[in-house]
Amino acid sequence: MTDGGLALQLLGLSKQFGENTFVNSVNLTVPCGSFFGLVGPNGAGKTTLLSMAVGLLRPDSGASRIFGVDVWSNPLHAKTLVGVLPDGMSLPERLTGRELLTYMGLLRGLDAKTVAQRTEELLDILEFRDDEHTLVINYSTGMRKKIGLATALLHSPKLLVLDEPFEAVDPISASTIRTILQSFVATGGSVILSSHVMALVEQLCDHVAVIAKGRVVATGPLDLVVNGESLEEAFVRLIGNRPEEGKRLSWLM
Amino acid sequence: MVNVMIRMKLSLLRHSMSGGRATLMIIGGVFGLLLAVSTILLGVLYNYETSADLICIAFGFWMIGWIIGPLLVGGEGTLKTEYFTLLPITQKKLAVGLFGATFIGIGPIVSLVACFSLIIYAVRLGFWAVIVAVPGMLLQLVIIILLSKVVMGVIGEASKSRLGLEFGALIIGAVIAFLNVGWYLLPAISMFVEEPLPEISLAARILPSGWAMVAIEAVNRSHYFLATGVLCGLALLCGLLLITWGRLLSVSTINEARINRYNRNKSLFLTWANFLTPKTSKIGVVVLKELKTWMCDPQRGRLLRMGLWTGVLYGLFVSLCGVTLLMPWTGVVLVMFTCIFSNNLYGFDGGALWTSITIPGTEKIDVRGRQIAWIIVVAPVSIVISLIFLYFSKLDWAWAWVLALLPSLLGGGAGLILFLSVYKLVPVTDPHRRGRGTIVSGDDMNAGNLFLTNLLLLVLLFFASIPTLAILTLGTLLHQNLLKWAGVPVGFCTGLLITWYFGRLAYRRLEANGSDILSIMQCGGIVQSADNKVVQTKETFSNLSAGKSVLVGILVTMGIIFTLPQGIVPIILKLIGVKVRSWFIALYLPENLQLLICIFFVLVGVSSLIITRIIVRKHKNMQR
Repeated sequence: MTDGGLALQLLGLSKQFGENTFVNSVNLTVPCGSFFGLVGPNGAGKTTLLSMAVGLLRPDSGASRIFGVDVWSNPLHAKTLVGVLPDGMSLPERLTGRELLTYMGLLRGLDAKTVAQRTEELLDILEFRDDEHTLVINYSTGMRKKIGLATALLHSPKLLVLDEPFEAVDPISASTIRTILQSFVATGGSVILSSHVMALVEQLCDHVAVIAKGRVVATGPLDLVVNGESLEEAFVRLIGNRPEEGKRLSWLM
Repeated sequence: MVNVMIRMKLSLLRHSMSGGRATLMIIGGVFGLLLAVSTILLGVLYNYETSADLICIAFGFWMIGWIIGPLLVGGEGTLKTEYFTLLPITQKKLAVGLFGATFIGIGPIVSLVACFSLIIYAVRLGFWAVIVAVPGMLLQLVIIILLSKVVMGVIGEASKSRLGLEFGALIIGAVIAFLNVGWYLLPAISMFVEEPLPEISLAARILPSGWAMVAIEAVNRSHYFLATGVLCGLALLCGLLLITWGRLLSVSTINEARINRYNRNKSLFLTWANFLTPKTSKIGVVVLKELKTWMCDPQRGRLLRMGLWTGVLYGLFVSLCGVTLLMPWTGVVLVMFTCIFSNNLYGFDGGALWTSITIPGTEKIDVRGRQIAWIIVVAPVSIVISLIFLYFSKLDWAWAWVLALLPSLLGGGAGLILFLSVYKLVPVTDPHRRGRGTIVSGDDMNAGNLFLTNLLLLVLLFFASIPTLAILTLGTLLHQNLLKWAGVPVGFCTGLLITWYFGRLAYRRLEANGSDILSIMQCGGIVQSADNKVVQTKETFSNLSAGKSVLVGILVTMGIIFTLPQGIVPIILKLIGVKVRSWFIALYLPENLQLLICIFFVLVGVSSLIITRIIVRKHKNMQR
């Protein structure tokens, strides 16, 4: 099943909307058991790339393989191997968190007992106890991220693809999520996440890819990419837009 | 799988059951049941041949109803396909699961009742006819529902492009326009009963909605091979539709709506608007922003186009049918439907209201800008269309009527839409949470509450036109042309006054309660109380209990129908000497009773509206 120990393999993925190319022939490999960080400026194509990688958006060209299983020719198998937290996902807004997890678990084919047990654990660990009867529509951005993460973890996937998992999440929950993800990787799981928080990527990830204008500008083990610098410095060097010193808005005090 | 999806749908319905939704459901259920019982009666009241023909025709209408119903309410319904995109489920399983969940609702139950007409008819023919009728009935029901899903899927996919969006709006406009002139078919049906047309009988049997009847008739004539063949055909069609729907489901989840995000509108209209609008004035900027939104936002653009197309096609239909009496009103109908589809203007933008209320003093500019933009979008079209249809109708008397009513309704619309969208705001799911489809579902649009607010808008628009109508009627009755034409400045002034006054009420409310209105919008009408119990927000009809909502819904519907089409319209027709009976009940009665019955209808209608007002006011007082 594995393809040379690769959890995720992206081969020449491209996507164009109108005249704009959002992702341009991206090749990327995520080794098994790695904690992979995907960084890039706003509009670099991270979300489009991850959506194509997991079968949420059909690419114009290229292929995506999860543990060697092609996402577009064998989607059912691929979807059992991966847990996904997409950005701006559509959720059944008028379900409670508990109901959402229960139905998603049952629809994934898990038995009712397992679903009930995992739902309890997830609600507990992600601190949904006080809000388990709150409707998703009333969740804050951070809570939506957490419940999305819970649905991604529910079926015990081998790979997690997470788009901005820490965005708007409070520090305590963020710490919990970090611990969950680290222990997931420690037990052989693989994670690829996108983030704008360089310090977090640096702290968590062992591999990293920098993407800009739909292209990968650097990828590999974190140490090799940063080359002795901090990730933030390396990022600025690779993207090529150094923030100008003393730049300010003329009308602000 | 089906079982889980049904449970999920039930949970979603339970959590979103507001007063407005319950009202719509019960009213729809009662009307549907009446139609179903009528379909059953068709199978027993006439001789064998006529009954069979009428049942086939009736099922043709059921099929059309199933296709247009979801188009009018909008979207996929409670269970959106994209909820299941990440799950390892085959297209076929997903289609079967969603299809199973479709049966949880009033529509399928009512349709099933109607389908029993086939069995009841078959009982008249004999044992073997009943044996064929049972699978025939079930397959026919499944086909009708699947066909509705497939058409919805195709239009949803097509609407992801700008041309498709226009085409989808045109189709819906055509359907609404047809419904408006459709009552001309009623006499045609009674004519058909007296003198059946073989062409219509054949056409009703060629459509899939008539195939079950073909099988029943075949077995009755001992053509067992044909009966089996037709049943197999029904089963085959079911399979094909299910496969097509499955394909559409998978395509719809992975194809992005291009117009939603990536296309910038380069229409000539916007280029000119951009060029002409003074961007140095605050109000000019709001007008331009609104014009862009009407043109570019798929949901608002679609609704606006639906209103415009309904008006234009209404005119074309009545012209084609040769009903010259209705032709001059095309522009008026266009304005009324555009009002209905633009109602809840602030609600459509959802949480975006924050951009206005965080800038001090912009509420007034925002309201006035929106009013001007709405007039710019609707007025020229309605005036041009009115002039064209007035000219071709060759009805000289209608010019003053239309030219007086048009400014009154346009002004009324500009004032009342803004007023209602602030005072009777219907919270709609925020744009970024509506999913990837371009057609927003009835759930997200809060269709039940919107329906009630639209009824209220129609009542208010009628009241807004009373001064103009009074002058016009008086001028017509007294044969005073000058007085009749005085209706035009009256209509113009009334329109202007309502735009100014109700706009003022709207921005004052926004200034005083902007943050409350924003919070109602952001939570989509549902807030959580401290004890975690889901409660409906105030300021909408939804806080009425289900029973009261049903009562209010029935009273308002009754009030409008009795006052306007059954009361005032036949009175006007009688007074100006037009001999049309159509569906005006009073005009079927003896001559000396007609006026009396019309007045009776007006009294009952107005009383219903007054009782509604009392119920709502009492309820508000009790809440305080």
